[in-house]
Amino acid sequence: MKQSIFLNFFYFMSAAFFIVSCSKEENTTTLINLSKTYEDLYAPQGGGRGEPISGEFTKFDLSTGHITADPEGWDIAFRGTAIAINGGSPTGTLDEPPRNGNGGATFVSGTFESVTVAPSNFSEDSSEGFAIPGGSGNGWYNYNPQMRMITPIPGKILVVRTRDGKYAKIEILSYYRGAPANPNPMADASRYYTFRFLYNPNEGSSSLE
Amino acid sequence: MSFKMRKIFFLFPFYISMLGQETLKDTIQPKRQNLEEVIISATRNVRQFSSIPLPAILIGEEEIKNSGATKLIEILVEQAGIISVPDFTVGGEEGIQIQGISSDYITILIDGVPLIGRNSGNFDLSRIAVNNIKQIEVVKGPSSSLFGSDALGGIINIVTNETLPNKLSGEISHQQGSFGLADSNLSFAKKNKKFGYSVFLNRYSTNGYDLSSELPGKTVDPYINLTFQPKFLYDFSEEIKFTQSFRYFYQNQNIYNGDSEEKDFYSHSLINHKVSENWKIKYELYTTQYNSFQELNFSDNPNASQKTTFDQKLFKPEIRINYNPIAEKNLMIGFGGNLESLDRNLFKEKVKFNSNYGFIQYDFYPSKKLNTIVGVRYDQHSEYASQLSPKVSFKYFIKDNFSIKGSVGSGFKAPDFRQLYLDYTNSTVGYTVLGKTVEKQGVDLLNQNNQLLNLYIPINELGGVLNAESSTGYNFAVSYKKNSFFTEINLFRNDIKNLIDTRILARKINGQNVFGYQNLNSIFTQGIEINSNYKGFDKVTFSFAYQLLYSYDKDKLSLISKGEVYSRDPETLSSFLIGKQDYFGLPNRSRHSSSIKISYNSSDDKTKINLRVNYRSKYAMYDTNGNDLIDNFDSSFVNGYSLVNTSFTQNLSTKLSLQLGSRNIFNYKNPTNIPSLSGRQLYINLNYNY
Repeated sequence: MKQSIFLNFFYFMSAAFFIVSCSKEENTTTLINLSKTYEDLYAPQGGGRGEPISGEFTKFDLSTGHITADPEGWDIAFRGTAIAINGGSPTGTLDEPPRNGNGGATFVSGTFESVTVAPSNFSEDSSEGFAIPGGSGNGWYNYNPQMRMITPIPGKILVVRTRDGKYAKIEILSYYRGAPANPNPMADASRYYTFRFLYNPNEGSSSLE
Repeated sequence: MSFKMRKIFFLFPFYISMLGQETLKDTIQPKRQNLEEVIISATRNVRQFSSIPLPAILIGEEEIKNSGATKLIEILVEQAGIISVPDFTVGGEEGIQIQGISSDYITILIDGVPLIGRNSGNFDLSRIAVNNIKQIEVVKGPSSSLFGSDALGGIINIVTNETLPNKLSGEISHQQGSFGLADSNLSFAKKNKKFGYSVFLNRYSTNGYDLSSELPGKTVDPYINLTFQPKFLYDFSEEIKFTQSFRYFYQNQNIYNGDSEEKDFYSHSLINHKVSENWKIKYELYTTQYNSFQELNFSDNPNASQKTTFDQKLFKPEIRINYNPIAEKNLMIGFGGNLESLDRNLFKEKVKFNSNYGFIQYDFYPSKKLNTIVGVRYDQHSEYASQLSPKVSFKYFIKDNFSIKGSVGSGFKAPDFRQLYLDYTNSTVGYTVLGKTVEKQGVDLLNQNNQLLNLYIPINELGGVLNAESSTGYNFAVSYKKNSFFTEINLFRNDIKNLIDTRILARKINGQNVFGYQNLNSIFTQGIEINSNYKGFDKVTFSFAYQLLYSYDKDKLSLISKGEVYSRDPETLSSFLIGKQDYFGLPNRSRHSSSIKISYNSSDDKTKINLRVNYRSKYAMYDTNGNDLIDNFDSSFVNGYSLVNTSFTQNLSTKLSLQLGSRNIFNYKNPTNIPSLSGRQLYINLNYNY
């Protein structure tokens, strides 16, 4: 994960350069993109083993880059492999957080770097299911039943419209604590998300560079 | 590589027609060397092995005895192009691969009739004792034109002794080895003028072994098995001969927290009727059953206790008519039926299959140097679409010691009972698996009971037909023989489509999935096999075999070329696009495999020493970086390894011999990835002939 420090620095520098070069000409303030890697977001769940899945979702605020307990100030929320979006209507699962925002989610194929602009087709959570579908191969992960291992599908970049209409891209890197390169599902604790993301705080801008 | 091979295969029909038109006046009949060596299963008639136009292996009685093998799997994995692979679907966790195709797709026969009992798709090759085997025949490539379903990748036929001695004679032997191995054999046989019999009895037991003491239970639990195979012959006349064979097998294993039992039984009746010099008819009646029973008891949690039962039956009558006007022409027509049933605790009710089939095969010499076999079989089935399986093969002797041969054939494997009828919900985790015929009603029922969170497959797309998995195999070989040197180079390709895999149908409110079966993948395997031996030294024979193998999923290849497949950098974990060069191929396939055998035979034939080395290069077990294929950045690669076996046999008298041997002499182990490797096993074997 050493790379991420370098990347943060790189993004910071390029964003800073961008601001300097733009602000001179346009005379409007462009806010700096927030780019970082969030490590080990813990997303426990209850139930399972024949019982309905339950438990609080761990809520995340993309504008600050931190988890939050604020029932309204969140963009995406995690519980086990399920990811909720602050937009749309309840899916019907137990203990899901109330949605008060205008969030949406979609997947774009590519590398994190190659996704430079947010698309326009977003899904919202609804009684039909989550905007980010569950199940192996349907959404963000593949499940290996032999090894009982969850692996994020490489090349699937999650693009999110935040609760207040801003855009962000997220690449989920690992589902295991410490983001080991070769997770051992028997030994490594699961439901720990490590992801890198870029959040564009500028109103109306779909740029994700 | 793939381009070159395709070009050659494209030339096949051309070769055949070109050679077929050739008129050769002054050619000599292919030299008949080694008259002893015949193969039965390649054509279902006794055929000289060296002239057979198909890729095949013959393992004789002497080789089996000299290797010290007790179970079929041990001797098979030492053969050219057959590799041992870890297989998690059978108890012993060891399977085989032929031309990159696993034993799920290979028919196992004893004296031409199929053995049943594939609990989870695969056949456990350690169920067969080898001490009474006269020879083992392996025919590579699709063989459904003669054997129907399951012969998609090839067949393995075990030939038991057919010629019985006039005087009562037999053999007693015992092998004692590491890990509590005890293998005892008793056999005897006799034939009067008209009546003959042979009896074979085997008892095998082992203490198993434990590779990881920190885990509860053993890696392989102790087990004991018994095999009883009596056979009776009666000649009603010179023209009508009757054979009746039985097999009874019983195995008991003390598994961790429970008990496991397996049984199989067959009765095989055959009447050979020589109607005239040219016409022969074989009437065959085969009935077999396989039962397995497993019980798990947990003292701390009695509710988790479970019993599994699996009872399969097959009844198979068959008639084969041979028209044989001259030695070099043989027309065979056969027809028969399969009545099959399976009762399994995971099924709603006992299920039955019926099928009828007919086949025809013509084996002839269009010219003296050219042998051609054409055949086709039609299978009509109660549960899935009918199958037509043709096959064409030829062998052409360019010179006496230089020949080419080629074959194109098709094979299929019918959907099994499990894929059609399974209705299973795991009691501890809560997922559900539904067979194709119960898929729709199963999902409907879950839906009505409000058990479903969402459906991934629309309800009107559920149910429907599951097609047979099918293959087309191409083989082209060049053989050269000079003095004591023999070599054969075979190019092969197998295209397999409609492979059946599971897919997720729906998600339940407990978060678990509902799985169903679907025809999904198309794959291919292709490569080169080289098989050579040299018998030029006085007392030493040397043989060498090598296989180069490429195996890929066609859909994955096309996704990669469209630029839709990414991998993950093992260091930074970020995604990047991969190219074809990064796709390693199908799991559990090694690019290179090789076997080398050196044997020494003293001039008085009293002392025999051999050394056998089997190598396979690295392979991957499963995808670890989420893109659902094996690429060079996955972390489940298992390093290449060699297993070395050796044995020393000394005849103490004309009747008594002593053998000392070692399997896996360098004690290679890989507990995590290859639990079927116990480590070095030493043994001593005493054999008394009377």
